[in-house]
Amino acid sequence: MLKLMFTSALAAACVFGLGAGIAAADEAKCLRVVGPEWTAEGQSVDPARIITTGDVLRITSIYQKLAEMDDNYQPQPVLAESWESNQDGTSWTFHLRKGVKFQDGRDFTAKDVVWSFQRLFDPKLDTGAKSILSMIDPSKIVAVDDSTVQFTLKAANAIFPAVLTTKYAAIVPNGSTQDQLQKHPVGTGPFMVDNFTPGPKFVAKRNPYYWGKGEPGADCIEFSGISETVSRVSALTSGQADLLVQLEPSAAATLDKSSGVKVLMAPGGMYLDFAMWVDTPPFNDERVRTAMKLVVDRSAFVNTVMLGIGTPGNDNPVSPLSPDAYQHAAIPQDIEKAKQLLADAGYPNGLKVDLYTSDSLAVMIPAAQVYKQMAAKAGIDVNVIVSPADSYWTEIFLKRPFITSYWGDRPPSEALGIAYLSDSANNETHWKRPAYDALLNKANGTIDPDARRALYQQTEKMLAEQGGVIVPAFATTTAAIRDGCSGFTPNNNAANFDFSTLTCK
Amino acid sequence: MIARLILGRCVSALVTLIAISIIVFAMVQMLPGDVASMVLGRFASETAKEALRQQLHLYQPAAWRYLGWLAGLLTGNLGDDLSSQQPIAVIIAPALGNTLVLSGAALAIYLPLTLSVAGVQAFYRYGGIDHGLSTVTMIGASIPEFLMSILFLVMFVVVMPVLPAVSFVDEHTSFIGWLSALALPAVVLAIVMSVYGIRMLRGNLIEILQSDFIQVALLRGLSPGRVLIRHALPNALIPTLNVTALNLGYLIGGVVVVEKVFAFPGFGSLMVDAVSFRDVPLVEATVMIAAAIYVASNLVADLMAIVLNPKLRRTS
Repeated sequence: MLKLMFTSALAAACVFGLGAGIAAADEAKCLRVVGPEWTAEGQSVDPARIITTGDVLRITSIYQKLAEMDDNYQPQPVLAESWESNQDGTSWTFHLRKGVKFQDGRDFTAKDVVWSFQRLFDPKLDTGAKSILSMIDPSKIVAVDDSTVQFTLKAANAIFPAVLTTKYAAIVPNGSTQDQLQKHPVGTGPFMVDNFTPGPKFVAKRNPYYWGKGEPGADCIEFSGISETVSRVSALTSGQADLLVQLEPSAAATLDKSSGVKVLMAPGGMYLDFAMWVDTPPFNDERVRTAMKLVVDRSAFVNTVMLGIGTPGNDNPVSPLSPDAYQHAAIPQDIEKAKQLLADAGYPNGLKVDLYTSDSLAVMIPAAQVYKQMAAKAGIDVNVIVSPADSYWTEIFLKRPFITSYWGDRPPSEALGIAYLSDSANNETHWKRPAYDALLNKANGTIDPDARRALYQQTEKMLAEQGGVIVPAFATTTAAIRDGCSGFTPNNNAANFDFSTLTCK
Repeated sequence: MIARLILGRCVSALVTLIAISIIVFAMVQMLPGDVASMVLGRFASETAKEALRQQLHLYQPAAWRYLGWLAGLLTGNLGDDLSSQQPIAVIIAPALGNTLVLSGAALAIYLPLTLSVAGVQAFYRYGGIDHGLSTVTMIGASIPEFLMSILFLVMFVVVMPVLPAVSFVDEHTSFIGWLSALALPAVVLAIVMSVYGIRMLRGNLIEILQSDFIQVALLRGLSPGRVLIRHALPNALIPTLNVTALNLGYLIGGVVVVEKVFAFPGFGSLMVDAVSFRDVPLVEATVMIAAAIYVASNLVADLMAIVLNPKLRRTS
């Protein structure tokens, strides 16, 4: 009996080993990209609706935009080869790339661009694009000829091409609706699918009509997500995955020490923030807000929460690394001044506040805990309340006076506006200052780049000194690739992926 | 006589299921968050959200909605999934199938493992081997399945790369692919379940081995091994059946942790995702299926016990 059990165990082990070998060999020809999460629900292949990492991966492989943002926030040509504006920046003309075809063979023309943008303003379509593209007048998008499109804007905007690199602005065929796209997505990107059904993996094949010479670098690409960090890291080191994207700092630190893989970093990335309602006590007193900001030791924050993979932030959404930053050095911690300001504001014995957080993004909880430790030194007693991740963004965000939050990487025009303009739908600090709005709008409409930069810097300074947002750090967007693969560079913006040049041996 | 017992058990199972359906329905209604916002996304227009609320009959009284849903369930119509508008049966079928296969594999390892370890322990009871194995099972019971999954992953994927890091399976996976994908999760699940089964079976076996009829068999000259396997084990199995039935319920709904670690596209993950996305029809359908399987496996265990044990048949 024992002998039987032993031999059968041995046989099983051989079979499994063989199976692993065969299974690995089968999958060698598809590029295998793995993200940090995968939801079985709500999978979208319509660029108007992008909510999860999976959505981003699917949509960036199938569709393309007019332009793509590089790490210096300069738009680079993709489907549009060049562009220019009129004298005051109220009208922009884009010259489209010729000879591009959609994945079903039809030609890409200006009418497709017009449709792609007009449909984003359909009130029946739910999309986050509306607020980002609010300067567009949908009735004033015109196909001048087959390869020229003209946008006439509601107000002057000097950096409109940069705005068009938002993840939602991908080009879809003229007349396509969300229902159609969800079943048969058709774009101009390097990979395509014939039909889409939601599943645990997304497999796309080479687009035979793709306009990039020699691209894409593989016959097919496969996206999936593994939420457990150990499994994901093991998948890469054991050769079961080729590329890991949106890597968290702990995984990056582990992979750095592993052989056979390389860690890739963009210059910057998203930022973490703590948002205070400026119209609610105790935060309605600017001295209290300044005290709350001064307790943060920013480089220590980066070293603890982000394991050193990040940059200190200066209480505004523009990274100190950016040439547009108003100050490149990190604001130093000043506990004494914080205590003094609190005493002046009427809190000589310190302050008690509730700070909400969740593990919606893994670093949000350590961030709140580290802030609590730092604030305690100035007599601020922070009560960290961890809320469930799946309802955080509907129940807590915008509904509590002091919360932990984060925002993806954006160019200054968008970053300074999306959560801080008076009429912003996401105004997480209830900050309503007409002077700020005017300054930002003026900056966006200034054609001269140096004058524009100076205005952005003034806007940031106002927000950093008077606003209700504490930005302790920026993350660094990180990816990891196994040796034997090449042709991928992570972009600051974690929603910008370009898989057209990725190849593996 | 037996027929009345069996009927009684079936009726109580049905009543249990109905009670569960009421509880599930009520709990889903109490989940925080606006369903329309969660399903359509934060940026959806108010008109779209209103339309969804009307479509889901959210303004109708809860009892009315419950009855409508129950009627649908009984006629086999599970409804449509909110986010992809596909029939729920289409979405659940592959995930449930995967989990059933994994459960089958886990049970296939669990049964011989439990029987052999408990058998060895009972045979050499109170000796060195017995104590040693007890310690090992105690340690196994103390390690949470999450940690055990990761330990196995590190051992067999990183340190000794013989198995794949992720257990992805879909309709294209070969038989060999299935075997290698199932290996680690099935072993982990089998170990997690067996630690309880082993302790229970060992206790039962030792108790039976001390009873009179066993002494008679030994005195008659039958070998101890044969006595253990042919005479003691069948009697000791019955309580173990109950434990196994409970384990089956755990396998269907509770293995989401193991599924996440090995990235196995199973039923547990589907249930958790459905709750995260507030996909109300999918949540209700998956929880009811998990509950139905649990109740059914308990029912089967009860019925088997009645059939196998003549003593139970006289109780009513």
